[in-house]
Amino acid sequence: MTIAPEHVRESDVDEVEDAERPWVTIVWNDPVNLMSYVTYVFQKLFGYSREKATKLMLDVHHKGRAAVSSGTREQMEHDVARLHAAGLWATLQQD
Amino acid sequence: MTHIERDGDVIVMQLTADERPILATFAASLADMLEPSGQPVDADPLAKLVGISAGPVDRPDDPALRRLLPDAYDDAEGAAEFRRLTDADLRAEKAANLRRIIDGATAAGGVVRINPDEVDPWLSGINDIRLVIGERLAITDDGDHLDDLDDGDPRLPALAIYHWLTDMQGWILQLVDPD
Repeated sequence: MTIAPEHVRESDVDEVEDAERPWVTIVWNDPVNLMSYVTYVFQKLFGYSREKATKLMLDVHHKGRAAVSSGTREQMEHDVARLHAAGLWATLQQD
Repeated sequence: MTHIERDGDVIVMQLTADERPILATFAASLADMLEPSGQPVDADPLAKLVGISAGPVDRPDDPALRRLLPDAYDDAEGAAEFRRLTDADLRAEKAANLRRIIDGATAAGGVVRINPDEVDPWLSGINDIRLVIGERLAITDDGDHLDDLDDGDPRLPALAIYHWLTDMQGWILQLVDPD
């Protein structure tokens, strides 16, 4: 039988919250990639509808960058690797 | 001029006699840049097996290669570790796409038949060639500075090839993912 701690240290809570913050994949604009190609890649890689893929592509185009997926760090690393394979410029970061 | 059409679910592309060696040469040059001497970059057999490099992998010095193999993290340490885990496989995949394009470009009579499962490798390979040319020519979003080059400008041939591959990629996309 264990005794519950009287209180939880603040830093423990911060560490847990930090670890649970989702990660996001960011796609960055570049002047070479065709809008039609970026839209196609988003549909192919993420299964997004044409509408959603187009909206994200336009976000990348007009705002310079867009978050295209979110999840665990491992999932985002996978997404970034796939995007790099397709020739898009992508990074991952914590949300 | 390249002629592209559908034949069922196959994309058929007719390359002219001039176009074939150009496409083959550009694809071959880039494949060599990615995998010098045609070998996977890491000679360690275990690394080859799992695609993970034994030691650290540096960011490419060449800005065009850096665009094809970009940093995944803002921080250098994270980027280096990600690169170590993914670099060999990414180079191999891109080189394989380009070698597929070389095979297509050297097909009999310049008739390239792209099956459904070959479309993405073609699109990615052509895109990678465009990215490299774009980097070398410093193509920007307002690329106006490249519209009025003088006749003798040494950038003209590469720019013409860039535009040709842009059209090719656009036509293939229009056939596989029509508006």
